[in-house]
Amino acid sequence: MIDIVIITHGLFGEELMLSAEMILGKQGSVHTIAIQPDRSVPEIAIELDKIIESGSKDGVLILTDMFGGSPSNVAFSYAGKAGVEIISGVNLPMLLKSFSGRMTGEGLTQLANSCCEAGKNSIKLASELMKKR
Amino acid sequence: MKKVIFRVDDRLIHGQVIEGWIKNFDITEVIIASDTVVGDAMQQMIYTNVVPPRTKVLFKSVDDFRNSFSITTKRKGYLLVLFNNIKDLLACEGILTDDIYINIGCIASGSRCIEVSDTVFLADEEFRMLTHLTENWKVHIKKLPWERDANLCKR
Repeated sequence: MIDIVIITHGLFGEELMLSAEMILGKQGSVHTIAIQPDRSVPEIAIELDKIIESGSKDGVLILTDMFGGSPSNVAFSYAGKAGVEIISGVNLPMLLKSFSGRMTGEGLTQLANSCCEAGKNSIKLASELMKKR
Repeated sequence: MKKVIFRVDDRLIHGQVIEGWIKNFDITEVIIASDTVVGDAMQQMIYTNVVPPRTKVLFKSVDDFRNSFSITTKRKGYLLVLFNNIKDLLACEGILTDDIYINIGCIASGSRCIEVSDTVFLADEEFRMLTHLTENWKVHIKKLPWERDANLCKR
């Protein structure tokens, strides 16, 4: 099964995982890394390295909270590495898709693409929806 | 705010820098003065892509930056210069002027034992270097521009 790694500022990732599990139930092979103000980037990179090296042969999908933030900067340095895909801007629908997609056997690249779509498609402006009615 | 900002931040460009400094002051030019990043194409790709489209990021070694830098009174936009550590900033002490806003923003704790603020932790040698700098220059210790300066003392 594809490993999911959620890297975020503070405990957002851990709480996001708990929220997703509230909907889809307890999940395996999910890792969270919380970046706190006093943690150095090399420390975080070492932690991520260990997860990737011990990760599933099916691949590792890394989800980060904000493009340009430290979580993303650390993760994006793995861009191009075989068996690793990285997406920034994680939200609950994206995480749910990562859980459901890997259960239905999506490959890593397909899963990454469908997670991107799920994350983007979930963002709606209510007043715009009302106009379309 | 002065138009030229020298900031020490071991994460270089990240959330606080983008939201608090680059977007807040509409900074259009960033120089990363780092001997590490100047030779790392992957890091350069990341930092080039995370800033707003109007912002240009240049990469220089500390020596190249020090030797090529000149401050102009006619500067229109803001310039942000980022250093990995206090040692690199101190290597540029000779080009400091009163027109430069010196900021110590983020130095992770690691093995450092002196906590100066919630994001600035120093080793003894770094504390000495920073004390030396503050004897000659106004140094602002804070992660974001709207915060109060932290005092350089061992908390």
